[in-house]
Amino acid sequence: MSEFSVGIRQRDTVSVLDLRGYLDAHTAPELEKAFQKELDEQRYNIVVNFSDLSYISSAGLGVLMQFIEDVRRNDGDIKLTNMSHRVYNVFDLLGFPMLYEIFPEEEEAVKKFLNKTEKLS
Amino acid sequence: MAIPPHLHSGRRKCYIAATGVRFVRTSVYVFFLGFLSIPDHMKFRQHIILFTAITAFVLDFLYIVIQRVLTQQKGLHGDIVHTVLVLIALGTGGYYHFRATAEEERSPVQLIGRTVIVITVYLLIIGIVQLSAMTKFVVENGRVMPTSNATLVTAIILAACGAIVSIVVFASLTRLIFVKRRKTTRRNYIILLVTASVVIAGDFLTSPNGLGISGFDTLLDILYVFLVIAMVVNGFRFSWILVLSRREKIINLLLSLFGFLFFLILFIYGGENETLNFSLLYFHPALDSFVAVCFLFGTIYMGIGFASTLLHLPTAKEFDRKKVEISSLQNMSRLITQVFDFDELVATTTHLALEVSEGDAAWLELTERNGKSRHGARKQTAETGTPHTRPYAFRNIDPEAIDRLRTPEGMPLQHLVFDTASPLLIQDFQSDRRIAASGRELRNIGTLVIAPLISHGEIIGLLCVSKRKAFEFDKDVVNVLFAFADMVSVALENSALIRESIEKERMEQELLVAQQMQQSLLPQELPRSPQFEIAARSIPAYEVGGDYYDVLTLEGGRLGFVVGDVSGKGVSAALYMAQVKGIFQSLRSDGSSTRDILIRMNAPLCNSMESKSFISLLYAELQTESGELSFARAGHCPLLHVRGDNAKYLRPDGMALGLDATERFAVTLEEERIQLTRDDIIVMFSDGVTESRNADDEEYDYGRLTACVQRLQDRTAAQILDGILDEVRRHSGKEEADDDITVLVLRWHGNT
Repeated sequence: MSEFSVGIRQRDTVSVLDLRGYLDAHTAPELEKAFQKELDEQRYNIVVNFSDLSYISSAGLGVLMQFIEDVRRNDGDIKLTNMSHRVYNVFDLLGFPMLYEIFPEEEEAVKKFLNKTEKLS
Repeated sequence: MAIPPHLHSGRRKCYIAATGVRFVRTSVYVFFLGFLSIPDHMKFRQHIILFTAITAFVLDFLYIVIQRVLTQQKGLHGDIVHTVLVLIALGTGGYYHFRATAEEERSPVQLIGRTVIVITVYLLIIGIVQLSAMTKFVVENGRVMPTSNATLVTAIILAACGAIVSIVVFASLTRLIFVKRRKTTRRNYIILLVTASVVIAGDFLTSPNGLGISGFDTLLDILYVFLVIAMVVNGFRFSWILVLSRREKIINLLLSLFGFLFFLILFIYGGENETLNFSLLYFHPALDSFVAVCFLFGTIYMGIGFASTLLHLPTAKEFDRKKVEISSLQNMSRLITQVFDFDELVATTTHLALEVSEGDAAWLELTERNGKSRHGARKQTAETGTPHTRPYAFRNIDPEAIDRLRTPEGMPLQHLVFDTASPLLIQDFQSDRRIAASGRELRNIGTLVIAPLISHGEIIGLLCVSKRKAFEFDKDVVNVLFAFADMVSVALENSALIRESIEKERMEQELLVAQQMQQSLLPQELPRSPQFEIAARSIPAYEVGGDYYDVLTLEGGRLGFVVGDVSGKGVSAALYMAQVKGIFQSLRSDGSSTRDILIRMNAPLCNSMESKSFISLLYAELQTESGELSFARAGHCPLLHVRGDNAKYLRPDGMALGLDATERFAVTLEEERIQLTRDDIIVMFSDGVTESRNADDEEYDYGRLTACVQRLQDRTAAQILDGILDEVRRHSGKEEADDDITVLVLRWHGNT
């Protein structure tokens, strides 16, 4: 019933995942696959853009939890952007803003990653 | 041998006779017919026939010896008694052999083989006799006579062997003629028999050892010509060669060559040689003639057989392949029903692919979908581009080699097939431009065919077969492999469907277990008191979410309320729930605050849960003496407090359990306390309530919940609970909810 898809874009050293549709227990494996692909290719600067996501369930949040440790261990991060009010509420209720950086706009998240890389180099 | 006593006297006689016959038969079998492999279960009548043949022969033997002793050196001038006895012996012996071998299931090649063995043995016997120089004949008035008794006995034995051999040869050739018989076969055969009989009779009449009547010579020569023509006509009965395998054809070629040569030797030699010819001639000129006819026919038949086999040999390989193709396709259609074991299916597939094409190496590649191969329908999305394939079931090739099959651009070679959806044939692998240089290092590949497996218009995999040398596969092989690939697709698709339905069955079983577990974790009875009313219910979704609630009676007049939601589904969610329930049970006597209890729960849950799982939970404690409610919220839905027209969602800070094992959990967790007054209503719930969506994708949301509770605030807790659940169900418009729905209503009456 629920349609969901992940698109992956590269912005410099940052991977942007565009989520679309409903993210629930049925579609979560799709997101899992996308993350796994990024990790396999050793891309740890990940921005998840939620602008086209209309619903997220706890299983969808679970996917973020599943990969965050690995990503951070490799000096990367998962930053979340462009959340609708409804989606943000779900994150907020569960206390996710404590664990993830959430930005209103994708630009800011990407910039933050790029600044960090510059500092390092 | 003991006679079973229960047999009647009449039957006894038969029994004795049969036993006697069996004895004779066994002796004959051992001494004469050992190599003819007589079937074990012969009928009684056949015993009698065999017995007659042997008796006739023995009598004839005695007759000759006695006559010689009585008549002193005189020969057998076609003696009537002797002729009758020879005819009886030959006739019954021949008939017996025909009957005894009629039931055998022997292939034409085996029959030819037997014929060749028999005449080889006969040639050896003649050779031994010849070398030992035991026979000496004299010719008196054209008649052949033995010079000694030893010669006489030897001649009789040779003649007997000749009779047996010709019978066997005659029977074998007859059966060969009748393989794949046609309308004219029988007629031609009868003509042959009649002509042969006339020739033999003529020989008997004219031979000096026979009746010695002269004047028929020209007629007899003409008859001989007719006989040879009849033999040639009957000899052209070799359609069975066509269906032989290449190996059988080669065997047949050799056998018929030897057969031809041996028969020729026997025929020519038998006509000239003293030992053989005189023995037979002396014994009986008709037998000599019969043996000669047999050998002539053998020569002609084997000659034609050799030539036919030789002509069929060049096409034998092609014919073999067609046969294998047909049988493999038949096997494959059987395989379609054997789809329960996927590994077996792919293994058999590559095995049969090799058989069909006579290739050297084969493997199967299946399209990956959603990270795992369902070997079913493939969805080619813009994100995935050309699908990735994974090799299975390698034969004579290893996966690393397959990985090196790439185009010069570095793409897997298999992608060429995805573009065209038709088979790819590379005739000269080592010099083909479509292959990258790294691939050419694979010296074991000369020719390569990749056939797509297509199901419902989509490529679900590839069947690859290679051959060591270049230019080994022609278009026929490619077409056959393509047809074969279709069958493989069907089989794989069936296998996938079966696996899916088994998986579904298993999932349903697991869900049932999870539902039962979940139900058993919920409280059976809720505390009752004049001070308060409690009503609670959890409605599991079809695919059980992880909702959980509990009401605990604690020490010091306190009541504990838990409403939680474990992320994930099924048995694992139910197990985490059980863990939460266990922790609450162990803390019931503890005087800690609600916040402390949640903090103390977090660490063990972080350790035991998967990283992607977490639990949102609201824990509240009611001090029944004072009506004070304290609560802490670990990422769960807020608590609704309704007091008359005032309705408030209370939402102290707090992260879900199991997310963060560090201090952060404790730092962010807040505890809130409120003082309840009479008729206050507290509603705790799970997100299944507020996130329940209708057809327009609108959530039930907090506003509707507040309105509902306020409207029902004069009712009992149970009625409020029913009201909420009813309204949520009406809102979603569905009987089955997508997510678990849990509501706990507390109505405080206060201390009156």
